[in-house]
Amino acid sequence: MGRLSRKPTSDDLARIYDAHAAAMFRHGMALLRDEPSVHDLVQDVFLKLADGRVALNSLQSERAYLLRMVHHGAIDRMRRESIRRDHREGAGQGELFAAITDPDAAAFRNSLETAMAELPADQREVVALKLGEGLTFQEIADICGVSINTAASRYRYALDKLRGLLRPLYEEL
Amino acid sequence: MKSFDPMNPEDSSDHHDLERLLKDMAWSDPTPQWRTAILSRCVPPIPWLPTPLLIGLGTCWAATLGFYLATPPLDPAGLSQPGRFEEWQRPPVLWGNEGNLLGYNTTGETYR
Repeated sequence: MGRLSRKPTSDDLARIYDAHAAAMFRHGMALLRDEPSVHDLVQDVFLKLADGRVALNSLQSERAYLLRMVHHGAIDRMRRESIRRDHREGAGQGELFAAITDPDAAAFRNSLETAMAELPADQREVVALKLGEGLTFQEIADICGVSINTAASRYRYALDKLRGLLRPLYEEL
Repeated sequence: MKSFDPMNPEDSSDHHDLERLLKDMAWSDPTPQWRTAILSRCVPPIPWLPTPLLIGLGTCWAATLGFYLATPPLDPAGLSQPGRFEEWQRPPVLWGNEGNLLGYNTTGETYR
């Protein structure tokens, strides 16, 4: 945090990648649900970093700033896709959760993946940031550019919907 | 009428169970190929050698090399002075026949 006061070197970029790329990937996947698009998005962020267009030296939290860049980039892409009318919700390639070999756990994972795909992107984003990254509602609100109450509401609505979608399977567990 | 408090919902017990299940799930990570693909395209430019300058220099170098390779070698024998021609090597000189510029197909003495 706050270590870069110049254009980042290759070592700086590698450090940033190792520290934050997984979180950026999961955040992008929660919004876009399309791995190639998320790859392009993360690539764009790193190109901006390499060009020195982003000053990381004065930041309080590198991760929060990078996730905010992912958020804005993903929203831009979703708007462009909706204009082109070729964006279909849930039609992307790539999944939020890692593959599991155990058949029972894999069945639950697949149901969860399907249920997450049913959520609106903004609710899925909050769930991913809260439960995937362990961020607070205040941090999520800062990243998404909404109030803390909005972030918390989206989270609760998402959990309500997930609970309804997963109820048949959830009650077996 | 009680208002909805998103930070403290009433049905939090079910939510806690679901939260725990979701937290226990392994979220996916980018593949190892991502690291190479993304970082290889992010080589920071040398500030005093911007890309347009490199393109200009490369174009000049290519043009210079092209001219060098396209120019035939100089033949010293081909550069002899006109005064050194032998009599029989000199070009024809026309006399009195202005219509016959090359001096061909003439019957009279047209050479001196």
